[in-house]
Amino acid sequence: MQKKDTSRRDFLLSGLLTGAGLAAGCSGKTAFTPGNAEQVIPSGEKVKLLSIDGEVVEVDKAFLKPVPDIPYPLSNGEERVGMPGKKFVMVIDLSRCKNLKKCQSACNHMHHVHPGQNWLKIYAMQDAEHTAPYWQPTTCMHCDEPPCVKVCPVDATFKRQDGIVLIDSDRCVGCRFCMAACPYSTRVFNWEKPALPEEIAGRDYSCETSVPQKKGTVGKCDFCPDMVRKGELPHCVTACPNGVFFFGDINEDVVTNGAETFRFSDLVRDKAGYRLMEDLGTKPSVYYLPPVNRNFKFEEGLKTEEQKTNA
Amino acid sequence: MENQNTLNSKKTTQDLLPKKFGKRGVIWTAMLILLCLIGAFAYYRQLRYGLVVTHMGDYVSWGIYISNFVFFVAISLVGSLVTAIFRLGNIHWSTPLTRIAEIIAVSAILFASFIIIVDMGRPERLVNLFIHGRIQSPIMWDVIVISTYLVISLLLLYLPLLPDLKILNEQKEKNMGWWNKVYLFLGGFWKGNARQERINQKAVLILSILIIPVAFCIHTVTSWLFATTYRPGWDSTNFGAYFVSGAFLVGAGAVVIAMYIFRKIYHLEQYITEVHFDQMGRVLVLLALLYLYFNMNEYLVPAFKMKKAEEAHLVTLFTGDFAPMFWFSLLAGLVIPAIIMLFKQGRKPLPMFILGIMVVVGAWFKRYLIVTPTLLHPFLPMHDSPDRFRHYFPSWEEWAIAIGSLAGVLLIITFFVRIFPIIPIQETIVEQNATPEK
Amino acid sequence: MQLLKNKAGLLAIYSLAFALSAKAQDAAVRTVLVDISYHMPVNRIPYLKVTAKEKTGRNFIPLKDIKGKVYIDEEAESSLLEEIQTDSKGESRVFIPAAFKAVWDASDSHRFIVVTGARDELEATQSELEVTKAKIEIDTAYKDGVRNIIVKVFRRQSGEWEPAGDAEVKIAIQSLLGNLPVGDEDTYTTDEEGIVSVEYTEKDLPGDDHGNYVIVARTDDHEQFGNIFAEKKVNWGVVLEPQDLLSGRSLWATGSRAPVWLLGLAFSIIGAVWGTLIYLFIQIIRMRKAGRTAV
Repeated sequence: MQKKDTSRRDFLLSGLLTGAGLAAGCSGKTAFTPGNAEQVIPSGEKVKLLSIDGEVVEVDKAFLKPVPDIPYPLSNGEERVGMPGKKFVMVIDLSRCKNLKKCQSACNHMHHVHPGQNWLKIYAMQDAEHTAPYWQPTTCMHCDEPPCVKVCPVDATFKRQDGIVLIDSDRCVGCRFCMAACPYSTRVFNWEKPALPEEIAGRDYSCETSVPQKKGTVGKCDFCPDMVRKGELPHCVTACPNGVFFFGDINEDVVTNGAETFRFSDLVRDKAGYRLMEDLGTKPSVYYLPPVNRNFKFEEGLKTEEQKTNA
Repeated sequence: MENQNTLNSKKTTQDLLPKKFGKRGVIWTAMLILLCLIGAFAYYRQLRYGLVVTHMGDYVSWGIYISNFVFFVAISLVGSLVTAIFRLGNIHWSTPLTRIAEIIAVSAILFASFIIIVDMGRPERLVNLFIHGRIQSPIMWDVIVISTYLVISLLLLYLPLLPDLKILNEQKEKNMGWWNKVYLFLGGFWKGNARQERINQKAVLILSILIIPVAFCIHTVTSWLFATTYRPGWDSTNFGAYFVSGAFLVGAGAVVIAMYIFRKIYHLEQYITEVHFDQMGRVLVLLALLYLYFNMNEYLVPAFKMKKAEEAHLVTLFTGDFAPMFWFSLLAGLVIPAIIMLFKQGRKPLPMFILGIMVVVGAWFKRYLIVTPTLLHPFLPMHDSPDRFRHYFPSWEEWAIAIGSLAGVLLIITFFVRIFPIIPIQETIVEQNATPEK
Repeated sequence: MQLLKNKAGLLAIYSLAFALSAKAQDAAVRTVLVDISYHMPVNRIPYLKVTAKEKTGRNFIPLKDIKGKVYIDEEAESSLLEEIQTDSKGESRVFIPAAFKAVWDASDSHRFIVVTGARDELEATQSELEVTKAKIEIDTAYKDGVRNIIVKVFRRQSGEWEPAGDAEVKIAIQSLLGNLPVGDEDTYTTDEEGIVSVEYTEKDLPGDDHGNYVIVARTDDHEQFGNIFAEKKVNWGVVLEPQDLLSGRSLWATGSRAPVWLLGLAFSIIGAVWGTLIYLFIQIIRMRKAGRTAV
């Protein structure tokens, strides 16, 4: 996984170097332009470096940073539009889940979700009396016909160009209509002042990081657009040791869990992917692969539940 | 004859002018103020600590605030029933009841808007509704239609009051000190000349027509706050009609209660007669049957199919945790009153008063049943969230605010009665003068 | 009572001893894992990456603000490439400054040394890396309706680029968050000519708005060559026509993009009702006037 990150930054760097008109021959612009990385502003400070062939190349210092500075904080307007040309999807492979809840704890930790509440829930599902039980993680479905967005009176929850449904906690009036409207019970409310470390509470709020959460407003899974802008995967995806979560851009038709990368269409076709509550017409962006040929027995996941109740 | 009429008018005016609170009146008012203050303190706590002082949670995210809101909106519909529908139907016996109905409507709708603000997590951002309003949201429709209804109801309260204001202005010495200025400001221009009469009558007629569709809108839109979601128990095409019919019933029940109390306290037996109770009883039977019909549609049809998501919801209502409340509201709040009122003895003032209370109390619980049990039955099981979110019973703050808001409605009505004639004087005189002729 | 007192005394000694040992443990030098790796994107500007981390339990925690020095070939003041300090991810990058041209050109392979100083209870470390200059080239061929990706790996030998056989490379299509491997294998090994040829079978893979996507080939922590990679843009993809989600009118769009039918319905109702209400307010004004004029 570590290596993966490295390579990604290399691409980024190469893109920037070539984009700055320095490298000869090779591609002019890489296909990979995460978020606003291309907007890196040259510092004007040049350094002379050596190329592999020993020639001297003059490069602007701004391009040498491992991850170029995204001009954060993005304006609220930019956060509401999203990343152009992208449309994010998630694929959750139920055959790999054994309810370890690593995804959940990573999500809670990174988003400072109020103790006891969860944006990411893992259900023990059993569809009918004689069918087999399985573990089903649910995130926000980032529906293409989002019932929550339909009912919001103030545009506080909105759908972006890249398919992500976000909440603007600076605008939310706390009417909780979206919570009633969401059939996936994915939304949580900040009933009291969020318990945040001072350093977090003092940060400027961003819809993309969903941090810091605010009293009297609604919160939910945000697909970690701040990570994606950096070219990194959402926290739940990287936290899962079993590679349950795949994430990617449906426009590229590629999803990855960090270790494995598949064509989205192949994966969903070959493993008979489906979406939750298709009959409601919400058109979720999260696909599920059925719990067949499982890596774990259902019972293994019960340990986590026991630990939780004991704790 | 002329003298007789003048004599009658004088007596009527004396009988119907606002009167000072008696000892009971003062105690009653003080009690209501106390309840409001307790509610205000509870709301202060909620503002300070957040909605955590309530017992709502991520599942039951709407509690008695919302059911109380629905209740208030429902009760306010009676204004349109008594003043508008009866007026257009050329029903004359309802004349003494119009102002009672209209003040109930105005005060209930005021507190409906207030309680919705109480339910908001960030009430200080109310202004966002005007800056960033989305016309797609049913909440926006509700905001528009409630404010419209409030304006219409106020006008419908005000315009018929103008002749009475003239009467009040003509006998300043009997009024409370500075209220004379208010009467003068509100109705000083009213001379009762033909031109004014003509304009006023036409205006009231227009309002009576206008308020009916708006009243249907206000409660239909309120029902859509629920019906536009996917939730079992709310996902119903029957909801608008179901809410509107229920609203007329509870509103009529409230008018009956008010009629009885005003009659008793202000000795209005001559003006609010047994005939009025008898007629209201008939109206209530009709409304109860109508509401019963929509209840059948609402519960029987889904229960026949028992879709999986609906099943859990319906079973808790029929035989589960909410069964006592469900059957109470259905039987005591609807079926039994309707049956008793079928008999002439049941339509006497006292039984009507008791049945009116049953209807209103039943209706309040009915609203609770509409909001809460549905939220306890989400599509995905309740999981990975704090245990306290899996049940709902209102906290003392919620009760205090809900009761405080009910007290607030009663307080507005009480003050109104102290300041303005609750039975339209001028209209009563006109009718009196017209009747003996026949 | 006496017994109890003794016990209490014993407990005190125990707890003191425990506290001391705990303190001793705290004071123990923590092991820092410092790693140096070599990277060269698109056959251009090589750099070194130093990562510092520490192992706590089963997890590696990145160490920030670790100071150190990176040398080329030998640990001498004259060979000091750069003084470094790790960032919040425990990383630091070092490029080869132009001043080292003579040293760089002098040899086909170089040794890089990173030395970190001790800080607080963190111990000093030293780590080395030997790298042979190498590069990757990507070519494509189209024969009998079959597309092939041809990857060549070269190494520097006696100042010349020679084919590097038996080198493991990964070949993939570049994508936003993870690269899509080409063919059935995870990695491919070059033949004696330094060549790998892979049949390309992916169909209808979306490219950018011109149908382009980028093929990448890379070595992955190769023991001699480090991490080098090349890329080549190809026009094999399906032209992407991104859906425009935000420009249409819908019930879930922003307030300004409400459906026309809804706007028409809403505003005609509001207009009709409030128009009437305004008319009624005018009537009230007329009544006031009528009261003033005709006494």
